[in-house]
Amino acid sequence: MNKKTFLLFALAMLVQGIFVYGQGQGGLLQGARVWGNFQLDAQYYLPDSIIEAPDVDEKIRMNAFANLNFSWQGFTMGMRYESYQNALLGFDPGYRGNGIPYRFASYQQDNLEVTLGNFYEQFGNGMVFRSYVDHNLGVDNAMDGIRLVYRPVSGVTLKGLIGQQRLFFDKGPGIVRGFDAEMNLNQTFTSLAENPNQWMLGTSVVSKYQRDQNPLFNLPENVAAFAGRLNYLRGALNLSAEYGYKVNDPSADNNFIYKDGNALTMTGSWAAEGFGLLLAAKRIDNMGFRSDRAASSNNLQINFLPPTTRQHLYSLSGMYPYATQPRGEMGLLGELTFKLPRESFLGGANGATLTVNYSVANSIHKTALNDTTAIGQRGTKGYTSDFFRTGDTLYFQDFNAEYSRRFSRNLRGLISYAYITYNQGVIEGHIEKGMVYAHIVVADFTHRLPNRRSLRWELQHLATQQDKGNWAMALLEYSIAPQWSFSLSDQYNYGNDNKDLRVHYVTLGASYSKNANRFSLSYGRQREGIICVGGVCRQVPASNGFMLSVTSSF
Amino acid sequence: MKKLLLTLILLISVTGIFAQAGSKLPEMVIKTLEGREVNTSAFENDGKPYVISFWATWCRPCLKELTAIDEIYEDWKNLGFKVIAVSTDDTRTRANVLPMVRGRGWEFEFYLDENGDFRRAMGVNLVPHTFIVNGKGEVVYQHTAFVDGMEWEMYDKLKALLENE
Amino acid sequence: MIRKLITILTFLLSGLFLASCDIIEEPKMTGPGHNGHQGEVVRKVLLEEFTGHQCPNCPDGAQEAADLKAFFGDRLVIMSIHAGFFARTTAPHFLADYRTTAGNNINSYFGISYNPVGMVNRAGFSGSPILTPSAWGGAISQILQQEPQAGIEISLNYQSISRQLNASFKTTALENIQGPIYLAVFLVENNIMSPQQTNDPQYPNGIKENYIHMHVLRTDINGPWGEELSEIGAGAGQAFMKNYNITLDQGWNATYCSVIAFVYSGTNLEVIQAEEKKLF
Repeated sequence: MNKKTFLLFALAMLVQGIFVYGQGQGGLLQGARVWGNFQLDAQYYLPDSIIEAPDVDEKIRMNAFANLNFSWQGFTMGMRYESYQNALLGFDPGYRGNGIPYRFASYQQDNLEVTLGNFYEQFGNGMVFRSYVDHNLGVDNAMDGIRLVYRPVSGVTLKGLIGQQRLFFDKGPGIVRGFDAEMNLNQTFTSLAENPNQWMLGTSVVSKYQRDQNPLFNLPENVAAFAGRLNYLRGALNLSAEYGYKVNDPSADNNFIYKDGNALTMTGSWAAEGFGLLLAAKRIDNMGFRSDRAASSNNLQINFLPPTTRQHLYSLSGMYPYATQPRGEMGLLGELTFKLPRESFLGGANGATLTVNYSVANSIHKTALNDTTAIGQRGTKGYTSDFFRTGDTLYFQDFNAEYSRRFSRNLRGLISYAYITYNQGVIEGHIEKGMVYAHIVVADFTHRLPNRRSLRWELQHLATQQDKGNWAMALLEYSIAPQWSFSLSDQYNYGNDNKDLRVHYVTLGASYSKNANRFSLSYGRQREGIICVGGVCRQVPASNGFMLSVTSSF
Repeated sequence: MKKLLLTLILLISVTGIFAQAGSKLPEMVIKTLEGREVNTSAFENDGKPYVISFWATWCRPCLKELTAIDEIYEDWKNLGFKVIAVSTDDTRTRANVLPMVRGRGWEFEFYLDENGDFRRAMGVNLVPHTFIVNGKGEVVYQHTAFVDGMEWEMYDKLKALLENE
Repeated sequence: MIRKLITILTFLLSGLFLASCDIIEEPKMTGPGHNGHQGEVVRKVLLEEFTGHQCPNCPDGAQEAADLKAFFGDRLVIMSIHAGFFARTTAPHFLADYRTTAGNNINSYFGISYNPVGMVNRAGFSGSPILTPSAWGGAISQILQQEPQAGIEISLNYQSISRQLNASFKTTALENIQGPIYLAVFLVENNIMSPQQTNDPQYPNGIKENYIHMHVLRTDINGPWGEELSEIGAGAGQAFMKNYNITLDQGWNATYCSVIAFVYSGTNLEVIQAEEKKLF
């Protein structure tokens, strides 16, 4: 979109905005709506060799974006402007410069919705198609093309799309086409409307095209993936399953093998008053699916394979996060939530919540094709895999329990324990690193003080004999509702084998939030971290300095 | 050129803010916890104001906000207020929503916005992000982030809106 | 009602069309395909591989380069640049230092931030000249289909005792070339054995002790960015002569050394023609 067009577009929006201002008094465009949001993250980096913080020549780095949308009577248009001057450490350096990587126009009438330009979409659980954005992770695989959504009868949704995916400020080479049909039987067939058994069925087909310019291999230019799903609900019971199949797709993800791919996920949950049980099982075999065979990391992914493990919310318990291994994995998860009743032993005066969770992920079993071909050898069918056998390698295991309770009118607290087994070699891609076994304990308490103030403190401890050894963390947060919040935290790696690396990571922070605006400023050392999305982890290097964040919505 | 762009964006945002004073909810299709599709244009509370809160099972301040409102929900219900809680959990954590919500005994009206369509249409960037909608279906207040005590502030605002109508 | 049915039908039919896909039975290709050439001069392509001995995924990149070399033979000229984070020295295994001034220069100019990656003729494919290993093959084939714009003749004279190398280069333009042109000359060494980090599960500690490093950049011969041959380009048939002398370091094995020369455009840095010649 060149500058002139954008200027005209912006002028048009401005004009509409003026008419909209007069809407209350019978303006020209009744019911028109302008909305958007804005986020800016900037960091000033100070050199710090003790924590191996990389040198930042620019000193200041910044990510920012702004969304601007306009809608009126079923017609919507919008755009997003992004600016990376340069992108913060930990973000892919492909995000460089400014531009408008997202713009669309859509129209809705009767039961048909047409979108032109950029859009996001998900088929079922995302096993064969998911296009989404997460600015804080630096993931955006927006589609640029055409999407149609049609709801011919109540409960039936048909979706079709075609386009290319976003890659930084450009597009990937592959063309992606998809079609999805979903039917909620109880909505479509009025005879079933009152039936306690509720069913939902869905099916999707996605195919991508990329030219074969590889001199060494005869690569398939059209690769299709299919998926079918069903969901059953009755009272407290909910069962759902999705199965996906992908034809041969040699790519950098799977070392150019010609094996097909498949995946199965099943979840069952029982949700009654004060009691919730969740069980999930999944198996993935060669289901990496991108619109460019050579792409890697978070780029140009067509599908989304989430990890079936609990997402930990505290700094130390989240130190070793699991990332889905699209080449192959099998996993199980079980989680129990119950509300301990009032006046019971653990429930106390106000009742309490206890959550117990266990998850495990393993490799799949692979057998070589014949004596002369290694497993996963390029240019061959790779391997065969028995669906029901687990592989020999444990990737991840997590047992955790969390107890949270309101002790009195002014004191609320949470205690949690987790025991994590983390295969650092496989998950982070460093073979020489072995398994990490860590015990993590967290205590998080909030005291409510008079005059709408509150003080929250956190104490965390991670005990392990591998990797960097033991950590201890303390955090204090003082808030003045509804606008101000101040915090001080320290993570201390006291157990590191290397005495020089027993470092304190101290951070001081303040934030001000009024209505939909929020400003936050922090200063101090940030420990290096891993942000994992799907099957890929990004290392965010350690840093020292000031961090400013501004967000706003309108 | 960039200055011009920036000025234009600022101008539009300013007009946007004026226009926003009392704008209706966008019409989107989202799902109930049972998987049925509903249209957001059907959201209403018998002419009384209500709260729409965007949350996620992995977002601690969101859980704090919903827990805090849950503890005083009896007072809210007495005056006819309600909370529509829209979960932005994606496939990874979506299965957690139903057991977590029932397990904690929350009584809010829950919906799923899995791919973020409704969230984007409301201009929501980070969660928690909470809106107050008046009896006429217009958005009159929003806040992002949660600090202890905000649940009372929202209750006061809802009462004020009720008295004005 | 009819409109609804037609719309539903269109959707379902498009679904069927989308189910098109290619199932390949014969994965491997045979034969190199079309080569660009003019008379006896053959188009050659330069692949610069950015690697390091502490980069566990780099042996995969080196394997891709080796496969491509086996496929294209002389038409592919490879130079491995060890620079940056993954090429640093760390006791006790990674003491060899393959970093060079020229290598560091090129690495930071192009902003290489992770390994393994490479550049094919320093040409931008989909915007960036930095390509991951799986994209090298396609890029190389594309360029090899083009006609050569210049030819480089290398003659070498090496004195073993004094370790003095005299290298002469005759660059002949085969057609009109616009803009400034530069000649860059480097020395690489093959068959160097030293430890390399790997992601091969055969090596549980992640290190292959007797890994063979190929075409390692040892030094530049006329500066990291070479020497300008002409500011105003060249006409068809115009030739440029250059001569350089260097002394080989004691630690380098001259038997396995080669000289790599390439001519590139000063406007967009893209390589016009490359050539390689062994000392022995």
